[in-house]
Amino acid sequence: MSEGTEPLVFDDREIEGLRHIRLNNPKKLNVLSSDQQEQIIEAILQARDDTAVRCLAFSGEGRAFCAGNDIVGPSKPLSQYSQHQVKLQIGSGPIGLHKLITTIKDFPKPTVVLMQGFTLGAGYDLATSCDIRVATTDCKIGDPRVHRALWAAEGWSYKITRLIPQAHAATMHFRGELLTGLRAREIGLVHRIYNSDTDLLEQSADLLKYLVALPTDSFADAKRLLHMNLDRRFADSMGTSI
Amino acid sequence: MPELDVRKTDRKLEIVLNRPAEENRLTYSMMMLIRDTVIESQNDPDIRAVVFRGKGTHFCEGESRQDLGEWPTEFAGRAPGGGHGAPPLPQQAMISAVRSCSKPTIALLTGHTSGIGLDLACASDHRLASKSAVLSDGRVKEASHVATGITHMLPRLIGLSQATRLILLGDKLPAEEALSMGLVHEVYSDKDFEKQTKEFIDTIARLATRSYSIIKEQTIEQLDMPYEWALKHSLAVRQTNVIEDRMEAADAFREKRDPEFSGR
Repeated sequence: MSEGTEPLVFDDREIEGLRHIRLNNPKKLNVLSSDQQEQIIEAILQARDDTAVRCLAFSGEGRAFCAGNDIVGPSKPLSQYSQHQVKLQIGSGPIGLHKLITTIKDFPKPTVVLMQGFTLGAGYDLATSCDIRVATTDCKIGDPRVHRALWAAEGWSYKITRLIPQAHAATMHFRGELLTGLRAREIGLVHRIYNSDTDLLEQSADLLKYLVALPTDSFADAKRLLHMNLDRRFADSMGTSI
Repeated sequence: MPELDVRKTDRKLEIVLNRPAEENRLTYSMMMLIRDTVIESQNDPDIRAVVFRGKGTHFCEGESRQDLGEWPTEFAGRAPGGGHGAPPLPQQAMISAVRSCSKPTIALLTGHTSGIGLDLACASDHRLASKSAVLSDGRVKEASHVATGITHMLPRLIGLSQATRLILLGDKLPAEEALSMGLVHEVYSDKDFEKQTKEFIDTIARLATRSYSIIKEQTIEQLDMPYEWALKHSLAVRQTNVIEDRMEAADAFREKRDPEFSGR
């Protein structure tokens, strides 16, 4: 399904109601540059306001979904974040990525990520912000930033202990071990797994069609409460549920 | 036949949902009665376990679709109509009472457990399922609201990731899978379900019930507290409760026998 040379492809043709964001830079394992992150944010906001879009999917062309941030390429400061800029040789900081993962989390319609090969760093942050995670059995998923002496400040510390039992955080983040898709399915981080040699989009077609057809308002309401109540006391959650 | 069959037998209070022809779907009057029964049970020292079960095949398929019955008088001033339908006040009152009940609570899940039935199960301490039981929440699919506590409880029970599967994706969980993710605590064969759940409940009903209540109170309430507050909360709970059974536990230990707890 690979076509064109654009590093990002926004596709509406595969399934009616599905906006598909494809990372299309397979030679570099779809690492994300700051510019691309901004483009994705823009695309998500458009999809949010487009009533024809009822589900958002992310995938990556080639051997990996996304191997992380582009830490080799030029890390140029984006003007809109200039007030957050740190004048050290450590890149632009996590501000842009914070905005990306928050935009995904707050997207009021179903979000799905299809993962094969590698899902690391920024790719992992993106994936853990989606509602539904689909992976191949051998996809390597995790956060090896500890091994690169990199910041890992993109929200994982909040999300991971809420997504799965806290005990797994030590393995995944303190020791930087990668999970296989199979193991991620076992501990509940991934919702569907498929054999490594299959086409994930093809395999997920039924799931995606199902999500597209869900009652949009009801889904948005339940998703909003699910996220909001993570930070609320039980009594408060009841009061705000009406 | 009453919609709700409440029986007190030998340390146990059994609350049986009794609308088998309607898959034990709940009406407003059932919700209010469950709430009142659970609250009253806390004042009865002879009750040492509260059990929820469904008459017939299913535990509870959700709330009544056709007719929820009369809007409860106590909520008369709180708009039953409106574009979104009646607010889930009776549902919330029931679930809140069950969740904060000081007695041990056990839900016996057979057949289908769905919607508000899943809230009821998750608000209970222990969930025992028969092999053929299926847990699900079809409310998003049915375009209705999910506003009865499950969005708070489920992510804490099994994590947000798996809670998403049930609530947003609408997956149906067979008992064995629910067991593997810790959502149900035991799965028994359909044939032995009655016998084995009775053993489980009897064991619970012989525990030092006040001790159980204090531990439960700390656990449930501290889910919503920062660590430092939780430690202070524990001190307060400890300083304001007397567990008579402590003496019996010490005696039994010295005499190398099983304790006979009064539950006080």
